[in-house]
Amino acid sequence: MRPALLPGAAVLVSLAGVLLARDAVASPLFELAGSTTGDGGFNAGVTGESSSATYFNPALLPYAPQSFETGTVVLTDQISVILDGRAGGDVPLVVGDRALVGADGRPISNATVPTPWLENGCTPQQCQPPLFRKRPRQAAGSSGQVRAYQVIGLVSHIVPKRLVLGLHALVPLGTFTTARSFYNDEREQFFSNSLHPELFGDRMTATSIAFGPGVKIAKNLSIGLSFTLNLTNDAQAATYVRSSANYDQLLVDTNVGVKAAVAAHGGVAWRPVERLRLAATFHQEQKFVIATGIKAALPSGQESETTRTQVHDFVPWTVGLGGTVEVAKRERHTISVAGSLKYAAWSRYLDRHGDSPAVFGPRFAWKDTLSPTVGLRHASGGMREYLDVTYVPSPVPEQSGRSSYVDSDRAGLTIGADYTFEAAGLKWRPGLSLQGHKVLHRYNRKTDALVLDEVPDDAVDAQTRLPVPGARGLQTNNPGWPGFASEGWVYGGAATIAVIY
Amino acid sequence: MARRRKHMLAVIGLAALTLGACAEDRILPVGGALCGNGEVDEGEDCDSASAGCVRCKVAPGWECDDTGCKTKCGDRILAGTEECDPPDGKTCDSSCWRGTKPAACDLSGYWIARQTNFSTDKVLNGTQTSTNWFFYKIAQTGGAFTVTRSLFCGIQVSGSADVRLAEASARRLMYQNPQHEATADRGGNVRTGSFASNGKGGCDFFMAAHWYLRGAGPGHLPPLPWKAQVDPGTSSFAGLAALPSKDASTGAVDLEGGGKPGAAYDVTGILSGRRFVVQRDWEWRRSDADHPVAENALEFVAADLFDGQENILSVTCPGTDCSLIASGSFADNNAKHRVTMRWLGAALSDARVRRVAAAEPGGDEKVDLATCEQVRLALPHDRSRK
Repeated sequence: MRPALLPGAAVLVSLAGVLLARDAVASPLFELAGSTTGDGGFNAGVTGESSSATYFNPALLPYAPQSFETGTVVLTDQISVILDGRAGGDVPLVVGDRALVGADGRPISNATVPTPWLENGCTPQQCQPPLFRKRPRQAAGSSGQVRAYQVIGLVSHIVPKRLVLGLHALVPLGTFTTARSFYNDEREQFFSNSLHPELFGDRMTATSIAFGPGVKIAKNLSIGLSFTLNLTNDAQAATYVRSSANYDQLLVDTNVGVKAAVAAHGGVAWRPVERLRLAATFHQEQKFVIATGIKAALPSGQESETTRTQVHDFVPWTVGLGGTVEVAKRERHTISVAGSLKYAAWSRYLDRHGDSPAVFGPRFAWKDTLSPTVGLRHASGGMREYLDVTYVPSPVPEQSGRSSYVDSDRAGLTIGADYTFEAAGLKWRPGLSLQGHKVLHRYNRKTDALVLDEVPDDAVDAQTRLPVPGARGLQTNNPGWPGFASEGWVYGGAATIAVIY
Repeated sequence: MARRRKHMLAVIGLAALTLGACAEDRILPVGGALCGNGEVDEGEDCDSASAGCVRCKVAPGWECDDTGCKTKCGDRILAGTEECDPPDGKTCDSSCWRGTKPAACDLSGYWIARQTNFSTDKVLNGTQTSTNWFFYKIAQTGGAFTVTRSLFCGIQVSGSADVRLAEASARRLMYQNPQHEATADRGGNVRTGSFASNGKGGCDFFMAAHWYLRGAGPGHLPPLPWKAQVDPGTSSFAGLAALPSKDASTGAVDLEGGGKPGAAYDVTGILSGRRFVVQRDWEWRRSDADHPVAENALEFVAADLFDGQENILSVTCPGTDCSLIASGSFADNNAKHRVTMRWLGAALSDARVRRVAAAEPGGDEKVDLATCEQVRLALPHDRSRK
């Protein structure tokens, strides 16, 4: 194949990849941390020619030097959840006897347990062993973790400065990937009985690997297409329930399948004049899907089965526009300003149980967001420094109803520097960066009428048909009731080194 | 110097940011005085008008839930209507009622009993614990005793499903299978036994076998006189007329009077609905090495030997699929069934008897229903397998 045809072939191969794309594991980590190599920072879609361009804007790859990069990134999420004290609203103990019916004689839903069981567990006087264990409210919050990652990058010029392949990965050290699901309403009472930040936590353990080419198709115009790669899981569990009270006797067969999946990302970079570069990016919607089939057979000869789909690490499709311009160039010093605007389609969000927040009502559907980022860059000889600030509005509307998605606006700042020098016949570029995100304080007050009343007011004792004490008014174990607030920080830093050859 | 100061400030600022940026989940206290609103708010242990709830804190010797407060017998604190604490079986029973039983190894007087049996449900193989309650008047001469009055005070089952007799069936069954007489329409037998000193400071207790039939007419029990003991190891139901069943319900009796044959039981819990059943079972009682009986004991626990049969004739339930509640249970022959016997007193005028019964049983249905309610409260359903 003649070299001139290579760029076109690469694009064709890439397009084929897009057509074959399935649900992919996403890179919420890339979106949060920005570029941790080079000087891309939070503006990596428009500047910062390093391996990280593979994800943020592969059209910048032809401007990146052929190199190998590695380093360590440390990030911590420290987001506090503050619950309002409960003034009443307890689900009464008598519900535990399951001897309640509605006024129409139909049994009330089994979808609740007495609030005292959650606070103290069920006592031997109330339940048969093994006993329901206590799950105090917010005793199992998930924030406050420190995580380390290995960053690996590779830039390879197949056709120098014309067709360039890039690879960029952020791999968690320790637990490879965590996918933890939780409900955002009263159903969580059976599990952690706590609220969890929706867009952090386990999303920060997503292994993020991007690869793809960038092509310079004209002197001042380049395009690129890349992919993030990860896994899609299918798990089937068939069980035979010998005793409902002793799951030690459960018989289980499992069948687990893992598929590779990709999602596509692309970009364009155009330099109309020497001092100005404009860029546009798109990122395909990404999510990590775990489909779990559960089949249960009972000694009575009855069988039941269901499939539950969990969605993790959802990242919406995004479109970004931005540019960078040199505002001062004097002797060896260059100062430039970068800015970008990113549109994210969060209205398509699926939570960890595969539900759209709109299931809680149209007013609780998530919103698309527009995030601005601006920054400064300075280069002098082999030294480069940068500073970016960004503001990321929350897509989550006020949580006054059943749902309690914990999220709020975020303001971020990152600073970084690297220095290029020659040694042993190679160019070396060590770099350091720090970043901090203030997760702004946000308070959500529940409206009782919008929260699920777990014990109907007309519930009566199934035998005596007498009213149930404590059934009047609202009874709920929604961990977010009667209100909750959240605030905190996400911060960390990176130390990297690039070998340019 | 100025540069150094700036660096120091930067380091201190970074440290302050890091220390102040640790996640801390917490629950805020509830503002305002809510004690007395009838709901247990955060920071309150209780909120009711009971003497056991003082300024929304549980008073010593009491325990409270959202249905109210009751005294906690066994905590060594005299509270409410408790007359003694802790129970010792001789002068203080398990309801913390004081008493003294003057005659050793003598059952004469009024007694209440809680019979606890275990079975296995046919759906999930879960343990079902059932309680049968009784009220007795017993006369003893020498070492032999006879039941002279009796009431059957209901059944409660808990486990995979909770089952209670429907009210109308409970009312009818109160006088069925009497243990003080044999009648043509209600079955029964005069129940006898022995209670005598074993010469080791205790008593040997034996109460002859009694058969029970619920939801079926006469002719399904063994002919009188019944054997005093039935061997659980043999097929004790062999040779008896077959119980009415779903496919052949002739002989079943509509106890509830609602048009469906069988005794009506309400099933609640994970499964919910009404079950119409016929049941036939027997039990006899004795002291043994695991269940010694002390002389002058106010209350004692004896072994209960038990087996039963059950046919479900029909079910009704709110949903369309009632099949799950159409599955019954079978006696767990490996379990240690037991009976708790509590002496109330020698005469109706005794304070301990008056706490339970206002009149001789069998005279007035309303009074007897109230007596049975007190029996159930005095010896509540106990799920433990000890």
